[in-house]
Amino acid sequence: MAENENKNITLISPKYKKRAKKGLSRLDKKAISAKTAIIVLLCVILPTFGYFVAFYAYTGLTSVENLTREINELENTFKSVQQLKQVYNNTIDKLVKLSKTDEIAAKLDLSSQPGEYNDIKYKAGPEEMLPLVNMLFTDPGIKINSILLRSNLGFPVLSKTRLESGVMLELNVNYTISRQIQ
Amino acid sequence: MEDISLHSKKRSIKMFDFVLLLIVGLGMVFAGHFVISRIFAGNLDNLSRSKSFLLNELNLELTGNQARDLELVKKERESLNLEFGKYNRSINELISHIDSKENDVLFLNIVEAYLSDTKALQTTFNKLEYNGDTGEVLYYVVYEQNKISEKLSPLEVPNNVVVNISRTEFSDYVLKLVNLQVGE
Repeated sequence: MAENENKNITLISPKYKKRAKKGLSRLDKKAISAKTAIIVLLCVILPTFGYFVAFYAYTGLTSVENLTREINELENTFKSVQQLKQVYNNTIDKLVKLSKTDEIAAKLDLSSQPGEYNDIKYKAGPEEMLPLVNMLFTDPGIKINSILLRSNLGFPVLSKTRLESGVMLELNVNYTISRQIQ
Repeated sequence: MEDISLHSKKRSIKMFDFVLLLIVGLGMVFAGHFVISRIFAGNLDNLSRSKSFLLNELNLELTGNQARDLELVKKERESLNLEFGKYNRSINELISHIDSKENDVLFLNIVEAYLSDTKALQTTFNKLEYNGDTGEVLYYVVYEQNKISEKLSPLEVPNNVVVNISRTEFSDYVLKLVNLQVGE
């Protein structure tokens, strides 16, 4: 009986045949009002859009601007440091070339390491002493704290010759060898 | 005939359509998020490329995390500022050292200029004392009686030099004892 009834069913259109056979899912069976759907959609999508697009774009843009500015400032600082370093190193190189600290130290039988050297005594003839005093005064690596140079000749010998060979000069010097110019 | 108000009918949509709309909407939002993140990554790449020399010199690498990169760059700049300050201090120390050296050389130049009086028969150096700022030199100059020079060399006496001369006459010679004081 039931089989005969089924055979008599006529579909409106053949293309609905498959659809009729297909079972409805739970989502197809349920429905919500359009108004509620719109409100829910807006409540979900707007905050998501605000956070993931608008806020993200704003913070990202700000960060990129900050980063670009910081990197530009870093570049300027780097250039300034490089220029300063170059000027400093060139100056030090020139001063080191001019310095004869090792030679002075060797003559005075002292170390040429940086530091303060006090109460240094040295005795020599004028031929040897005067170039040494000249070096002490002109060497860029040495700072003279005090110097006393005396001649053993109290009074000049009145003759047409220059100083006698017996003249001795006594040097008493305190100086500092610079740490920078080494 | 009965009136039927079509407007009174409640409009509804299927749950399936609603979920589909929600997924599409969220998908568009995340696609936008992805596009923006790609744009920022591109900007960061451009920045890395344009500043590659600087970043290589400083051994820095941008990670793509902008907050972390910003922190890294700030830290590096602070360390460069410290280095700048260090060099600045060193240069100031060098300048003060050269200034003091300039005093030494000036003193030596003055002394050499006074001692090299070519008209003198003999110049006998007696004592030199210098303490970095001021100095004193005592020396004798011997002239022949008829060749005495009234002026000391150099002709122009610097402002910070005081010269005291005591003169002794002999039959053939004139002896000048010169006391040269340099500095305030």
